[in-house]
Amino acid sequence: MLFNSLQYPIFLAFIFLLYWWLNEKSLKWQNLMLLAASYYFYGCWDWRFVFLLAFSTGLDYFSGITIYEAKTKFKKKLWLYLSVGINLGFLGFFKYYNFFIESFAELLQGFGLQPHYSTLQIILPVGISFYTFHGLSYVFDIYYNRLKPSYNWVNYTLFVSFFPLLVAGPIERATHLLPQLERPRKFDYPKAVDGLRQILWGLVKKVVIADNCAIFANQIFNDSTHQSGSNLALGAILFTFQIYGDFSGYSDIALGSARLLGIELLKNFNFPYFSRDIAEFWRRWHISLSSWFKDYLYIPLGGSRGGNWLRIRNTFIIFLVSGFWHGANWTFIIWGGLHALYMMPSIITRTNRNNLETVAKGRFLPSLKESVQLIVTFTLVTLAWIFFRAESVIHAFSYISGIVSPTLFSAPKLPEMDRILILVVLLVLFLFIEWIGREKNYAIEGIPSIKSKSFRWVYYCMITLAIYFFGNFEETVEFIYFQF
Amino acid sequence: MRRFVQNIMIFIGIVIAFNCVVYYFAYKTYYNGYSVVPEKRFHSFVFSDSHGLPLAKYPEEYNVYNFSAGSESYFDIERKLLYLIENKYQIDTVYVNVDDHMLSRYRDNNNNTDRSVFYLTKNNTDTFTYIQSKYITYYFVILQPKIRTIFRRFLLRSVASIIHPELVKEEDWSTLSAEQRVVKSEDRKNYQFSGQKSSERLKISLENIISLSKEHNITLLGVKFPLAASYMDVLGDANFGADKVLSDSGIRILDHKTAFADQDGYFSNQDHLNKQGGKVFSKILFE
Repeated sequence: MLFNSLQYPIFLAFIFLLYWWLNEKSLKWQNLMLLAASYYFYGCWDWRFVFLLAFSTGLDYFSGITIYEAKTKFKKKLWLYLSVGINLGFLGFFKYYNFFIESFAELLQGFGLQPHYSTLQIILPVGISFYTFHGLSYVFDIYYNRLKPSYNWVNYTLFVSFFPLLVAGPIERATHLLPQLERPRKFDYPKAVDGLRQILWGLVKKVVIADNCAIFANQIFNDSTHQSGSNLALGAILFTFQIYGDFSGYSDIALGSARLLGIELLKNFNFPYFSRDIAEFWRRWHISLSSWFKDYLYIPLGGSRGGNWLRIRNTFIIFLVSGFWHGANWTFIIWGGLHALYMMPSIITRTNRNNLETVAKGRFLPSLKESVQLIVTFTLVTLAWIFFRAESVIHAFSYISGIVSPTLFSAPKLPEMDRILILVVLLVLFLFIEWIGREKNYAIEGIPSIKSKSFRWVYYCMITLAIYFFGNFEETVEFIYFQF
Repeated sequence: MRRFVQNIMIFIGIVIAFNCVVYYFAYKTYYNGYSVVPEKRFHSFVFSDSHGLPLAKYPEEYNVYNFSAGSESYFDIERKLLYLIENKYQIDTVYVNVDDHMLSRYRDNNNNTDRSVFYLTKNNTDTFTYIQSKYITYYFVILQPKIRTIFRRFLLRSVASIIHPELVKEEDWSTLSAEQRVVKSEDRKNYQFSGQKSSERLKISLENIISLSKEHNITLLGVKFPLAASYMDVLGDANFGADKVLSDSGIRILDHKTAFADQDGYFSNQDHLNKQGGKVFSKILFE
């Protein structure tokens, strides 16, 4: 059940009504209903993986309690390793088994050997990278005494499988979400309206921006050898907007859906393309994953406390692991490595925390210096996305070499140029609205400040009409991050 | 909560009102004219996409009913044929378009699935699909991507015709220069033949049409409509193979692709005849 399918609003409306009706009866039943709904939601993809989710959740639930109650450090460590090992084992098997086999075989072939190997037809359980990380953060927090375990299995299971975040995040922390699930919720009108508003904006990002960009980005990437430099550059830019619209749109719908139920999820995006350097970009892109790696990998490795070499090493480690987390392909690893490389100047000169505030805060336009910084950062990010999107490393390099050609300065030429022109107009409008709202949590959060009620209604209707007229409903495009 | 539900209801009310406006538009421009039931006196039928439209009512002079519609796919033709069979039409001959693009993904995406439900019968589908497609999506038109596209195109065209009338002006094919014809032909080719793979769904429908014809002793004939010379040059051997599916089953193909190769005056664009071309072609096809 996709967030942009017709089934989802029907499902959400039904859950919403039942949820608030149960609110007056009992918290336990309310959470139980939410849990059942979450498992149903997950089972809509492939019911077989429901058992894997339940097993992984059960393992972390009991590990958490055992670690907390263990009398000796050895026993604590044993259960931590057991939980982490099994969780990563599942992740490794489903996601990386074929990659390791193939890479090892290629390595042997490099030495002139002809290994006989076979890969498995493994279906990747949707959301496995996300719920595995939920569970891992929980056992880590208990092990490091940052959290007491939950003795209520319904609440804990709901924390891992809460449907808005189950398949593509945000990657929640037990310290943030569990307390919300343990206390009674109260219906709050402004919050509920805010949730709907964020869902609406998420839909714009997904079906208007991402899915329309996807048509042309796919066309160009799938036939990159026959495209001019300008077409390839256009394809890379369109993919840059596609992935932002797709993933941040998903996150907006997830956050909005949870807010309708009175639950606040972690913010996942904060206008990343309005960043002045790469460090700022990573404080604004997939925030829940970046902060997860920071807390559970970067800081345990020593963080930025040591000298330059330690900082450089740690930065490379988290970016390479982050790349690998995205998928079993060298393209993702190079994408991560490239970002680590981009980070180097600011890491070495210790300027990575220079741009903490929103660009041009309190002003309408950025300064010339800020504009140059924005363009440079956007270009670097776009270049890295080519690796992320390409089928293979060779494909990525040939794509980039195709851009750097004399045809880069010719006008892009593709079938249906009129649709591309409409898309460009939509992108400009979209960026304008995002720019106006960049100091908010999401672009249209400021609508309630419009005093006239009828004007607010006109605004909502215009956005809905934009979704209707310009959304790509011809083909259902799955969310990119579902594959991770 | 009450206030929230109230506002949601108002919003749903606005959506329903909007749906009524779009339905009115859809009825006037899209549904109306499509849902026609042929008279039972006809025993021969032409099934085609927009290539068959210029034939207009000329086939009736030869007792053949032109059952063509713009964007018609084999899926829609199969529905219509089943409808005729179920409603006890005495069918002798069926002329079906087998132009090169008929099995393309383009035709698969641009079809009449949403309006050919008019010909869908209870016996040919399950109850859920029958109710959903015949009553829910048929009337709740904002759920139909194609009507949305037509509505959007209509609005954009209306705006363009006010701002810049030259933009929407259709030029007569015969008045275009050779270069302009080549450009238009290349655009059309890129649009209709962009993918490598043919549509499996349409191929299955075409095979069903062949089986139905055999089962009911209907003479099935494949027709290739005339194309303008410059388009044929650009097209080369691009073909998704609808003609091959028929000929492999031993069905005769009436190949008129080159019939008007030196007569651009019979075309409204690179692959569509004009009214006069339609009249002349009807004579060639049915006499």
